[in-house]
Amino acid sequence: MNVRVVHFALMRELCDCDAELLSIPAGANILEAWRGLCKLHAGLRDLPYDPRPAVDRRFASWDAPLVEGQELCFLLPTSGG
Amino acid sequence: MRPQSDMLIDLTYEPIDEQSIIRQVRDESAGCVLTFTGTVRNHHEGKRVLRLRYEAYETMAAELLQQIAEKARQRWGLLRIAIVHRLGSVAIGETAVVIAVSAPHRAPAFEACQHLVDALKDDVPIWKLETTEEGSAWVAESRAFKRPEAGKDG
Repeated sequence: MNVRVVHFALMRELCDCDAELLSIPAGANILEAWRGLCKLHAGLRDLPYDPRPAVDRRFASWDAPLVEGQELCFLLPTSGG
Repeated sequence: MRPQSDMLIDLTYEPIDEQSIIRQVRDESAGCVLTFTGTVRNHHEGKRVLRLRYEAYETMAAELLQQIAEKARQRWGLLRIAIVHRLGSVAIGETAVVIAVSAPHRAPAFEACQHLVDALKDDVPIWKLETTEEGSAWVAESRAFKRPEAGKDG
């Protein structure tokens, strides 16, 4: 199945795109999706922080299962304000 | 329940009009209006900052700010709330964010304003790209992120 991964700020630079479709096994969880993404983008393997995952614009836990078509985002440390 | 118009949440690429925001949170039931204005400073960790550029996951940021503001309104009995954050390039000295609340009494307003600033900085997906004389780098300030744990790095 495919999920859409959107990227911002440093994540966008490391993945060299704003968004991409990521193919993952049916029933895969967020951690499995992250590992799949790391295989595509070597720059993600040595991040100094764990990203915080969000699914469909809400924070989610690493073991949350994904379904076809969801929007996934891995947030790196923020700096608003 | 107060109408939705009592809450102003905005992410804008235009300069922020602080006085307009303050006017919008004024309320005849309020004993105070408290405002936090975040401005762009010209230095960071000993380096001279030339400019900032803010970027956001705009849809998530707007939804999250709405949720944070609504929870704060209920917890502290606020009357009106405004959270306006600048995006795009912002010059030194310009306003980056305004958080304004009105409440019947000052103590809950101070607490709520502090909470809203902290929640925005920790959780809302907004990032700043800082340009100094040495180059540009994304700034990591949130306290809500951890160092890598085994197994998540693929």
